[in-house]
Amino acid sequence: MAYLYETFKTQALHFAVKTALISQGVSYSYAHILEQADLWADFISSRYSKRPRIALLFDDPFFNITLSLAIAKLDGACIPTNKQMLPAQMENGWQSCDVNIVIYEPIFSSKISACAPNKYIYISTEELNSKHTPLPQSTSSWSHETDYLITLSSGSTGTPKPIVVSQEVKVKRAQQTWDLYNLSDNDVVLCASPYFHSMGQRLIFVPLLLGATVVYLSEFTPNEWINLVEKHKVSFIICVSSHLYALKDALFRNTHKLSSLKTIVTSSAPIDAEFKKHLFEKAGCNFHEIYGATEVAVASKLAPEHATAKFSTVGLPCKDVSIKILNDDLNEIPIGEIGEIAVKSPLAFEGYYKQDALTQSSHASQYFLTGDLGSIDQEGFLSYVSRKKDVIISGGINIYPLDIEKILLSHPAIKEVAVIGVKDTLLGEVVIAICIPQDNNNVEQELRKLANANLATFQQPLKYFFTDRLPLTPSGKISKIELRKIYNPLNKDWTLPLRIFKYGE
Amino acid sequence: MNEIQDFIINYITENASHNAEGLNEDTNFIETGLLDSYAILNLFITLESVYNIKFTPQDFARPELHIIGQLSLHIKTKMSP
Repeated sequence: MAYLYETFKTQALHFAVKTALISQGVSYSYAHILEQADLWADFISSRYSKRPRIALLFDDPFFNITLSLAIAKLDGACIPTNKQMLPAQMENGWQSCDVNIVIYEPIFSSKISACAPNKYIYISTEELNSKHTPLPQSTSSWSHETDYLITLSSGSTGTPKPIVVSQEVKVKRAQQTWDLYNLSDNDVVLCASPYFHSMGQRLIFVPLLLGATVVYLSEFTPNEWINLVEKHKVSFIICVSSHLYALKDALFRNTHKLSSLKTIVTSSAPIDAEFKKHLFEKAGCNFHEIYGATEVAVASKLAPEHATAKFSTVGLPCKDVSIKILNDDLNEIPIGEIGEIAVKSPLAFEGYYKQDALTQSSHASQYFLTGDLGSIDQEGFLSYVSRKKDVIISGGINIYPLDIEKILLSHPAIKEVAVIGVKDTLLGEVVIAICIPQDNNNVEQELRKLANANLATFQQPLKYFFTDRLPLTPSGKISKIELRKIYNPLNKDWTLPLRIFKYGE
Repeated sequence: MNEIQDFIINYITENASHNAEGLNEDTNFIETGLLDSYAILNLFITLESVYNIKFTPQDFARPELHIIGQLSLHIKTKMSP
């Protein structure tokens, strides 16, 4: 047990003085991180008798890393939390994972104050730092429980889906990435994704379990991204597609500053075929696209050698991964036909925490049903077509329209509402709400207030539209396909302010 | 002007990712990192909707509009006939 911790410890003892993490201009050695993780583990085990199920609420990657390792050492469960969620949403997620301790940075104290006071043990990092001295060790053993890293798939007010990954699978997933891109301890990896996101977790563990160095970028801007790559000679990056779109021109303009880069990988949302083709041709390093899900890790990869002929696909299944395309009856369908992408992987998750029925209904035999539509060609290349489930992907975050619709419908002046994602060149999609009001009163301001109070920032509709009817499917449901056709053309660069403010365009 | 400024401060407080204390007219709400990308976008679209104004790309390029007081003053100017 403590498999991930032991894997890290082996590297930390071997590479003791080497830089493991660079964040905000500060370098942390492997020895320092190991020492701190051991201290936290002593602190937690000597004070709390229950198996630790710890929610982490941090900006600082040093705390996320050292506490995650401490929790791994104790065979506990670690639940990284999205700081953008509202207090009620955080608690909803913690409750779904049976969290018993919440550790947070003082900058989030106002959110913590708004949470139920006696439900969890709250520890701020100030408190953690001031109580270093360990007490006598607890003799509890929880080694029969394997849930380690729990990713909350939705910041919703509905039922969260806690995706459970064991320490062993987390290490194997890192191994998969090392093998896919021939990574070694000489590599320098840039992480520009938050730790609550599976991508952020991956970009932390992939280098640290290998003896490589991770450079952490907490606030993404194209300039800072390029500066860090140049300064620290970053060699490997996995980019969410929204970052890639933001980088687009800067990437091609600054190839001379990016000579250390061996590989760029894109993930988390599809990028358009033309842009992808351009990247393959001009990036000046290996460019890969991967397809996968938090539940099954990387399922397929489009490698540079296939880029010319197959740039519109997401590549071939990875080693030991099997992909099928299924119809609505969960039967495999012929080559070339579109159906649901189902993945069988040795790196699959353990299940959704304490949600056996959901875990079961997400599988057909041993294949995980991704909720994505796609097809496989004669040569086995997978093409992604669209989401099957009603999900918006904005900036790499999965957003569930139903959660937003429920809130907006709670306003007495709203008769019906449909929330959709419209295409956006920066974020992939942006959220809009199309509402049928009870009468002709303009209630946009009230809906915005309602959304502010009840939804996380990434869930709040950017635009509200009012209509007297919504298009329906032949079976009488609201046709979101039709709505997207109508509203996609209306996005006349709504994200321009962001590109100017944050990315300096 | 105070009403607009209060509106902006309330919006930032409600949508801040971390503690948002002591906000005033001199606060640079971009530099403080209080708002994530979605909240920044929503702030400007909300301001357009509430005050019936339209920001231009040139407005967004003015760094002084990252400051709460300057932004509220600019909105007031735009509202003037």
